[in-house]
Amino acid sequence: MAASTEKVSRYTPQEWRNLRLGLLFVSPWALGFLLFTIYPLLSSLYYSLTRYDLLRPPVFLGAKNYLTLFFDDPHFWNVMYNTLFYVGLSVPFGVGAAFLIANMLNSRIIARSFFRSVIYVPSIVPAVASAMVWQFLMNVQYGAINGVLRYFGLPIIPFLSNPGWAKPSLILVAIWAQGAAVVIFLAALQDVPRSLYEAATVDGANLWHRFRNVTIPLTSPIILFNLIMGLIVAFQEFTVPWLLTEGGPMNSTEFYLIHLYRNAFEYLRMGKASALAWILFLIIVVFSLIIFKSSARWVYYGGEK
Amino acid sequence: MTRQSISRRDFLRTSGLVAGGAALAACAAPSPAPAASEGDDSMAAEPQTISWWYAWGNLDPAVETFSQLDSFKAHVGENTTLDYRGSTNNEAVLTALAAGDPPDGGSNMDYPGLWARGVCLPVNDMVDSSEIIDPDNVVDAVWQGGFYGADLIGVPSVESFLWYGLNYNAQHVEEAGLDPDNPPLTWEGVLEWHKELSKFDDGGNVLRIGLDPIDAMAGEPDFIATSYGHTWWNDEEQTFDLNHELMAQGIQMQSEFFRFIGPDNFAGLRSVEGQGTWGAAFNAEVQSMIIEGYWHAGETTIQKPEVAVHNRATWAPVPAFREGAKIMATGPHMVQIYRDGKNPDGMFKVAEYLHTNEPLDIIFHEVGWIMGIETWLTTLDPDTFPGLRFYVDNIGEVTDWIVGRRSPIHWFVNTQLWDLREQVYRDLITPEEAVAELQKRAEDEWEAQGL
Repeated sequence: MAASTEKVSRYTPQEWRNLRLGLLFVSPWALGFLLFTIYPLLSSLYYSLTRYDLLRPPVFLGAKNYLTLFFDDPHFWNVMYNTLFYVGLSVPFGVGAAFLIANMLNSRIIARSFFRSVIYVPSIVPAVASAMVWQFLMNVQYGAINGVLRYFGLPIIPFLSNPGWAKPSLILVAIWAQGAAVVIFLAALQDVPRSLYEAATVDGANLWHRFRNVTIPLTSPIILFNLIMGLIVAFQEFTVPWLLTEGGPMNSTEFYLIHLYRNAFEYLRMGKASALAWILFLIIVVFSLIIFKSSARWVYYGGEK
Repeated sequence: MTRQSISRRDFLRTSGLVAGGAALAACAAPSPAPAASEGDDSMAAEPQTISWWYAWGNLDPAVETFSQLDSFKAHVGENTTLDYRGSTNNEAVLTALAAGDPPDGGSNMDYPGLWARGVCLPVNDMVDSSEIIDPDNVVDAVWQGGFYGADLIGVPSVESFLWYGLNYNAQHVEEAGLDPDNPPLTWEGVLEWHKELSKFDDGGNVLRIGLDPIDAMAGEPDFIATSYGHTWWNDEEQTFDLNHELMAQGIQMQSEFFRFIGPDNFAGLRSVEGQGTWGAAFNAEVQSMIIEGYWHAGETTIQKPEVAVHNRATWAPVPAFREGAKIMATGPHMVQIYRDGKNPDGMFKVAEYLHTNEPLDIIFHEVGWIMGIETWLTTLDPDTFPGLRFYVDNIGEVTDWIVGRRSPIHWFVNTQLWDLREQVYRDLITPEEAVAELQKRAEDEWEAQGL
C-alpha cells in the first residue's frame, strides 16, 4: 500500500503544476499540429482510397486509384520520368554549383560581400518574377540568349519550346536559384578550423588536396543536408515549370506536382490526387533513406563512428 | 511589503491567460446588429448580404457601377449589400463548396460540372414566379442551353450570345495584298490567308502569325467538331463520339497551321505574346485572325482601341466539302445558385436585375458583353464596336447551331485534345490514333468520375 502511494505521488504538486503549465503552453502548437497536419494527412490517406471530387461524398474504392495510376493513367509514367530526370540532374548539379560558389565566396576575392549578397537574390525574388525573367531570356524568338546567338551567326536554341530542350532549360533555372544553399554552405565553410588547412599546407598539400581532404569531409554533413532538402524541393517543383511551360511542350515538363494539381483541381479527381501525393511521399522517403544510408560512407561527423 | 516584481512564471501565466482570452474573444461570434427602432423604416428590413463570385475580372467595373444605382438598391433591398468577388479562381470556389460555406451564387464557372455534382439549385420555380425574367424574350438557344433535362441549372444572364466567328485585322489583310471584303469561309481558304499573313524575319523567326488555330474558341472540341459537321457529345445519352473520321480531319487541318509556322516557333510565340492567354496575340498584333465570338469586338475596343478599328468578322471556317454551312454556337453564362448558400433569394434577385436594360447597357458599354434578351437587342447599336454588326445582323442566317460546353467533362476532353493534337502536329502520331486515344481517355475519365 505504501509503495503504491509512493508510486502515485511520484509527481509533487509543484511538478503537476509545471506539467499542466507546460502542456498549456505547448497546446497551441500541439492542437495546430493535430488539426492542420495530422488530420489532413490521415484524411488524404483515406481519400486516396476513394473516389472523391470535393463536392460529393467519397466512395470507397480500395486500391483502385493506385492501380489506375500504375497501369491505366496515360501520363503517369511520363510524369515519373520527367520528374526523376529533373531531380536526378537538378539536385546534384544544384548542390555542386552551390558548393563551388560558396567556396569561391569564402576565399579572398574582390567585392566578396557584394557577390555574397547577389548570389542570394534569386532566393528572395518571387518565383513568378524570376520565371518571367527566364521566359524573356530563353524565348526561342525574342529571348536575349537567342539574340546573342543570332548576332554571332550561331543556331538558335528553342529552350522552352522544344520537348528535348525544355527539361534541361528548367534544370538550368533550378541550378541558378541556389542562393539559400550557398548561404548554408558558407556558414559551414567558415566553421572549418584554419588550423587544419595550415597543417595540411605544412604537410605539402596543394589546393586540390586541401579541398578534397579537409573542406569536403568537414562540410559533408551540410552537403547531406542540402542534398536532402534539394531532393524534397525538386520532387515538389511546381511554380517555375507551371509558369514557364505549363507542362509542355509535349508534356515534356509535366512534373509530378503539375500532374497532381491537374487531377485535383482541373479534373476534380481528389482521390487520385491524394494517391499521387502518397506515392510522392513514399518516393521521397525512399530516396531520403537511400541517401541517409549511403551517408555512413561519405559523411564525416567529427570523430563519431 | 508590496511585491515589486513578478516572476517569469507569473509573467508567462498571466500573458498566457491574456492571450488565450484575446483569442477566445476574437473567435466569439460577432454581436448581433442593434435592433431597428420602431417606426424607423430604413432599418425595418434585416440587413442582408448577397455574395456572388465571378470567375473572370472583366465584369468588375460594370458591377461597381450598377450596384450603386438606385434601381439596383430598390430591387435587391435598401439594406442589402452585394459582396461581389471577381477573378475568383476555381480552387477558391471548389474549396468553399466543399467546406459547405459557398457564396450565394457563382458565374462563369464550370456550370455542368457543378450541376452534375449536385451543388446547385434548380431555378425553374424561381424563374416561373419571376415578373422580370421572361424566357420567351431570351434568344431560344441561349435559354435552352441552361437546361439539363427538365432542370434549369442557373439563370442565363450577364452575357450569352454568339460564340463563333472569324475575326480578322483588315489592315494586316490589306498589307498582305488580300481583299478584306472577301474573307475566306473554308479552312482551306483560311490556311492560304494564314500563309500570306504570317511574317518571318531574315533569320526565319516568326514576327506574326495568320491564325493560331487553337486560340480562343478554336481550341475546344466543340468547335472543330461543329466545323466539320460532327457532334462529339450526346447530351441525352451522355456518350462520347470522339473517335470519328471528321474529328481526325479537323485535327489534321489545324495541324497544318502549326507545321507552316513550326511547332517550336508556335510554342515560343504563344508563351510571350500575352503569355498564351486568350486572344492576347490578336491585341498585340502578332496574330491577324482569331476564331471567337461576338465579345471579341467589344473587348478589343475596350482593351486595345487602336487595334479594334481594323477588326472585322465573318463566319467561322468549315471544310471545303461543307462550303456554305454557317456554323454558330451559343450557350448561357449563368448565375448559378449554390445549394448551401445563405441567401438564394437575394442571389436570384441579382440575376433578375441583370435581365433589365440598365445593367445590360452598362455591361455592354463597359465590358463589351451582350446578353441575348431580344427586346434589349433591338436597342443595341451594332456599330458600337467594329466587327460587332456581323454577329447582330446574321443570327438568322445560321445553318448549324450547337449549344456549347455541355459535357460535364468538357474541360478534361479539352485538355486531352490539346495534348494529342500536339502529338499530331509534331508528327508523333496520326490524327486517327489521336481521336481513338481521345475517345478512350474520355470514356475512362467518365467512368472514373462516377458521373
